Amino acid sequence: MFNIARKVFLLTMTLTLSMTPVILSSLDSSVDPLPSYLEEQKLNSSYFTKEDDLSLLPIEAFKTISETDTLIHENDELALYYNEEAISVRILNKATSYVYSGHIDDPNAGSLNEFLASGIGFEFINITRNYDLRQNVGLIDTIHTVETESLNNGIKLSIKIGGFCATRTCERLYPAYLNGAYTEEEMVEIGFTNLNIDFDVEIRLLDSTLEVTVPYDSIKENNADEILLSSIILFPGMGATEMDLVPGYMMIPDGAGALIRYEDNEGAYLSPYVAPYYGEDFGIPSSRLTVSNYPLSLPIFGAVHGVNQNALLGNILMGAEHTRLTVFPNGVLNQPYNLMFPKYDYRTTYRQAFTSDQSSGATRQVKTMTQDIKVSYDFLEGVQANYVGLANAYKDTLGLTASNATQMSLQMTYLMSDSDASFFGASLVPMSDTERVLAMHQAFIDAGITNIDSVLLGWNDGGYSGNMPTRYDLENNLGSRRDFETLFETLNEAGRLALMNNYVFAGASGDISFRGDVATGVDQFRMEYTCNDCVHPETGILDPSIALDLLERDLSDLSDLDLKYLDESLGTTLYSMYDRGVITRTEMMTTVITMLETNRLSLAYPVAPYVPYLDAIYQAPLFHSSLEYFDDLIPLYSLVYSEFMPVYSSYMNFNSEGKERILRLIDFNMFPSYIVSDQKASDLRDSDINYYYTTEFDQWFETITEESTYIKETLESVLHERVESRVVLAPGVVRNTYSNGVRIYINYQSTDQTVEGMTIPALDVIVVGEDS
Amino acid sequence: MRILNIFMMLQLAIVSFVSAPVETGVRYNTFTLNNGEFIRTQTAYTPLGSQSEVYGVSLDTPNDIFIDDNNFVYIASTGLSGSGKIIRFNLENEVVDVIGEDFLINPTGVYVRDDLIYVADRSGEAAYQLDQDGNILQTYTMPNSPLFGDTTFQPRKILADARGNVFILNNGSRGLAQFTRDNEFLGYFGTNTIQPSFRTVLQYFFFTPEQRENLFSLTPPEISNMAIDQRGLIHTVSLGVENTGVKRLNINGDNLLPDMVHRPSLTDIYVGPIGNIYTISADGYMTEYDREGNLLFAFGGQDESNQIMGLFNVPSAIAVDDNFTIYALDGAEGELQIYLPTEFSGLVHQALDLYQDGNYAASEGPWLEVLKQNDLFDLAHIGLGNAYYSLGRYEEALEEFDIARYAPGYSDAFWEVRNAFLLANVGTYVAIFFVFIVLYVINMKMHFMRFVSTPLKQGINTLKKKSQTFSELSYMFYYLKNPADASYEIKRKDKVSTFNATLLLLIYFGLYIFYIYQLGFLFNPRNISNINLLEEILKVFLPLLLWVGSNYLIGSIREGEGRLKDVYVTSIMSLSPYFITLPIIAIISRGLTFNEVFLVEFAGFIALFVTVIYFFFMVKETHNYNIKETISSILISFFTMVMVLLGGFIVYILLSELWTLIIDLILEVYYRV
Repeated sequence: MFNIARKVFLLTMTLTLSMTPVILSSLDSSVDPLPSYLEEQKLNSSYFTKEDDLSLLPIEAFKTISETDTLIHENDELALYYNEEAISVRILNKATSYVYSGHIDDPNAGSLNEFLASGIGFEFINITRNYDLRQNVGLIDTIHTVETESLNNGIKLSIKIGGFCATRTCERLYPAYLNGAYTEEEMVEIGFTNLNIDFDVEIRLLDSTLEVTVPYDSIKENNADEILLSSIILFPGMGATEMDLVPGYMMIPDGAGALIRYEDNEGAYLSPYVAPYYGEDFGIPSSRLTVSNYPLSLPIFGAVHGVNQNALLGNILMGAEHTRLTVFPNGVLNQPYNLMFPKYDYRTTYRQAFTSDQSSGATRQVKTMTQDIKVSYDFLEGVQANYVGLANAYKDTLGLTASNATQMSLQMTYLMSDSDASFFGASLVPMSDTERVLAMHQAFIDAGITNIDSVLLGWNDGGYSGNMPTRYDLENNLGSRRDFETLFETLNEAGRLALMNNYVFAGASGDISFRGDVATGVDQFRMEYTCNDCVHPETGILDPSIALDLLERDLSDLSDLDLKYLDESLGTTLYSMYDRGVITRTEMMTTVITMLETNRLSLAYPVAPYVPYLDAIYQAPLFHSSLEYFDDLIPLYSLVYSEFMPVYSSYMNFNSEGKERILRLIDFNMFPSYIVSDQKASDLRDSDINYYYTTEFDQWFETITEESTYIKETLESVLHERVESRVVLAPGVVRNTYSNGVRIYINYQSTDQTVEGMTIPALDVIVVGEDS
Repeated sequence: MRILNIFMMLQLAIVSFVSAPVETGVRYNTFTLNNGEFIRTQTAYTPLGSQSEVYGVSLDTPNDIFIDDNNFVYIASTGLSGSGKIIRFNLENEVVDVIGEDFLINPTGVYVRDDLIYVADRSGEAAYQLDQDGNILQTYTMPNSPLFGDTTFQPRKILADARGNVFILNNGSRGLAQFTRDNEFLGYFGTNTIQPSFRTVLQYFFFTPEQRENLFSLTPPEISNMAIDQRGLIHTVSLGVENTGVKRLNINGDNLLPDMVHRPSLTDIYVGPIGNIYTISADGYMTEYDREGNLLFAFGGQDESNQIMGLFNVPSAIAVDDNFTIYALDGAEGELQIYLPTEFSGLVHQALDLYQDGNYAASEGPWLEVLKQNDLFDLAHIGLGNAYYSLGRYEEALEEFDIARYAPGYSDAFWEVRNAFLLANVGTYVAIFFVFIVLYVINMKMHFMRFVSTPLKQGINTLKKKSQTFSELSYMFYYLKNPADASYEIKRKDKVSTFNATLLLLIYFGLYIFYIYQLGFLFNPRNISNINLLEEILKVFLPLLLWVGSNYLIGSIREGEGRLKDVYVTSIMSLSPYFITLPIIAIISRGLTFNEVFLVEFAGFIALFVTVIYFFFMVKETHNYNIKETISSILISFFTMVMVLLGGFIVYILLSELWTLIIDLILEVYYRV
């Protein structure tokens, strides 16, 4: 009898504890919610993740291995076949019998037919035709030879591209030309281009991965006076689907992460989505401008064919900084396929201005990549075949260790000073002196927020704007050196401490020689910009080697202090430059990594190569680039990194969505970030950072403590746990399952929602423990 | 200019990275006004994405949009086959139907009132009144009236007022053609006028009659669209107009709105649920104003690639429903974009609704919340200031108006604060006044002030003897008493050296700087933070130096006696009344409100007037001219100044061009070879 009573009691307690709704009514808005039909529109927009179509793949989606495919290598999971006709591969996933093909058989893609029917594509620059760039050329559309050589677990293709015929007459006469019947000049007149480009492609099957390499040394441009290789495209048909035949989506690492679902677009898109990995190259005045505003931060792309059925993860292991991700949703160029493939750029054309006002100029080319390409493809199935599985598969390749933090931390930026225009140049606008920063910090500690990663903005002489990059030079109007050091010590007790600096966008008053240290682009014009209405009108993009020198120079000053610099721009800004020769993005990346190796630098929204050198990620995005192509917003970036280190959001002060954005933080497993100052933000109205239009501590203290407590109560149950699945149960109702068994249900709707037998209050979350 | 730059920045944001720490989630920045300048604010509206069809009905080329009281959306659209239609749908009920396909050709305007649908069919050269089933109840065709003029009847937009009068926008430069409910043409309404500019005035004087005829064939700015508010007041937007492109017309067709910040290429206007005015421009920018024309939000932009959500290629129309949801059409892309209000704009609307209803006290809470979200939101400061003012909390009101630099409110609040201060201290002032009177009377008898004045005078005299500079600087006081003699003595007896005159000029410059910084903000149109040292130096020193040079040159060829030094010194001396008055005006202005504005204006006028007289006599005495010679010397000197300035400017431009040419030559050789 006693035992039964005890069991009932324990069961009741377990259920009570494991289904704890976290309710904080004071966060509720006083503004009326949208009517339900508008809310539904919103929840079905690309700012949210939609419910998945879980239907099974139709039988037509299953490709077969044909007689022309030769088995090259196989293991327990995959089999690799080579198709000589298409110079392509097919991969059989033995677990699901699903076949991936590097090309499309008999495509119906109009002008892209030959390109898609080839496993290998390329692009070239014709110097003699005013640097004309010929795009999307399929290898089978050229006169070529391919020699194959067996590798231990794969195959090596030695490709020699002879020429390219733009007309049928040219194609017909080409054999005669080889026999000497026609001269090259005669052939050129009928559309012949003598390419004479060679390169090797090495294809290997490694356990569950297909790895493809193009060694840089194998690339030969034998007609370099006329023709230069611009880009190589590997397997344009890999992961391709037709119209809405296959349920699923393509995954793009844009901002927080985006999906493009396989739907019939009814011709809505005219041009492909093209975005360079790690952001645009400011150093090349190129026509290759992207419409994205976030860089592709992870070197991956993914395709899911049937949610929880089959998925493909492409991971660019080498050369991502010179790679563009190209996506053709169906309808683009009037072709019916959904295509997703990277273009590996060796060269790019750019405009070389000849006059100082840049009004006159001509097209030129620049070599951007001087290294091997290496890309791997992973093939997932079952519960792994979705974007969470893809993120986890990529995560497993990183070799990072999970964080062992036991508490959620908060990122607090203390805005100390900036400057506005005065009668004589610029004058300091003090916003918080050391004493007040200490007081604000203490107030948070007293309110129970004890784990704070602090950042100081405008700590340096003259304030933030115009003075970047700066040496370790404290603004003495804010406190003495001793005051600052006391402050640093106190802030360090609660967490990490970083001082805001900027090694990319240099002001004329920064600790550099503005004229000498600003980088020149490959067109040999200095990369500087003028803002006529700004207090500090001149901004230049810094030569990274100068940035490294500056940081190293400061190391001695910083050595005794437990602090780092935080750079808001370096994590996402990668550029080529000219300094007695072209400095490529790879070289800049190496310089930045050297800077990071000093262990004195933190970055905001860092791209993937930098993350292993960091212990926290600041200002990670909560959105994607809001392009028409995108159907869903997903937390790809935080899915990858939140297990290893705190991933902080952008400043929550500037949140226009109310509680919805707080729910988004919980959903994305990201920690909040705020910026506060002692003085009112209106003091900064004439400064260059007046985009920080609300920072006053007195106004924000209560909100910050409430919001962070709310987030903390939820996220601490899954701190640095791996997300096992993320499922949208109904529009705006998300269930995240973590590796410790905890499930978090998030309800973005303004009405209570009942799912899986539980009622989730409007705009709220519930945490369900492992036991239930 | 600043506004234009910000709009350009909006465009640049499309190709550059958004400032990461202030993440909006949308691809445009939203701006509001702070001290008359654009400043970023939270996102006010979030785009849902674009759609080229509504529940299966293609939008084709959508031209106009209207939302009725039941939140039914009407879109006038033209198909490729040369037939038009009105698409009617409701997002709530998820219903759609199409009307007018059988007779509409190119419907470019649609409006609904009392369940009657009004359609303007441009190519059909007719406008219609339809019932909800699409049956034609009334057709408006080209009137026979001579008032209509000789233009063709191609109705572009249409609306109706509560009495059933119909307004058709036909030829925008003529205004709105007004018809009665019985299809009788009444005349044109709301026609824009041609504003004569300095240029047109000059053209009028200098052009031949033939040219003048062409001049008068200029048409007034074209009205591009119109809307009507709940009070029945018609709003129009016009193309190519700065500041007055948005109009609210009274019954006489006069504009009731103040100058407003907007793009010059406005294509549509709509009046929202609380009387808020929404506009959209051809380059994709949307602006929301309150009922009084104060800008709340500016956002959007152009994206010709049509890849970015929320931006337009060529927008054609805008409408807003009861929930503040914006519906905008992109004619070039054949798309509808829907924008949902964010929680932040919901808060602004809530505060504004209370505020516009005069419920100032109740609006305090929402305004405070808005200011918490954005401390630089001018309208929120003004709203809160008014709330405080109505509650008698004048000092707090003063602070809010000060932040917003809202002069009328500041003046009123300052009057109250000053009044309270004066009332509180009236006893003290009366006592002080009487003490002074008593002391004055006693001094008349006992002359006790001599114990102060005599040593002071002696001290000054001693200083004059010891310091030549002090002596020469104090000569300015003599100059003020007797400008003619002083000018003569400066010339003949070298009373003031060039160095000391320069010193005096520097002191005057200091007084001028004091003035521009300390002038009460009610009377000071400048933004203190934008004051630039070099600019002010140029303003003060350049005209003076040009004058001195020009007047000396003119004097030397017109038998003037003044040497260069004389002209320089006396010119500086003659400006004394103006510069000495400046700090006095500045100090006085800080205690005044708009009610006493005449005091500042009067003091300024007197200072200027006296200075002009001194200046005149300075020239006369320095060169020993008669009145006529003096006037002619001054005028020719001014002309010379202009010519020197112009010449200098031309030389500067030429040299700069030459320099650019040399650099470009070197660059081209370097890059091409």
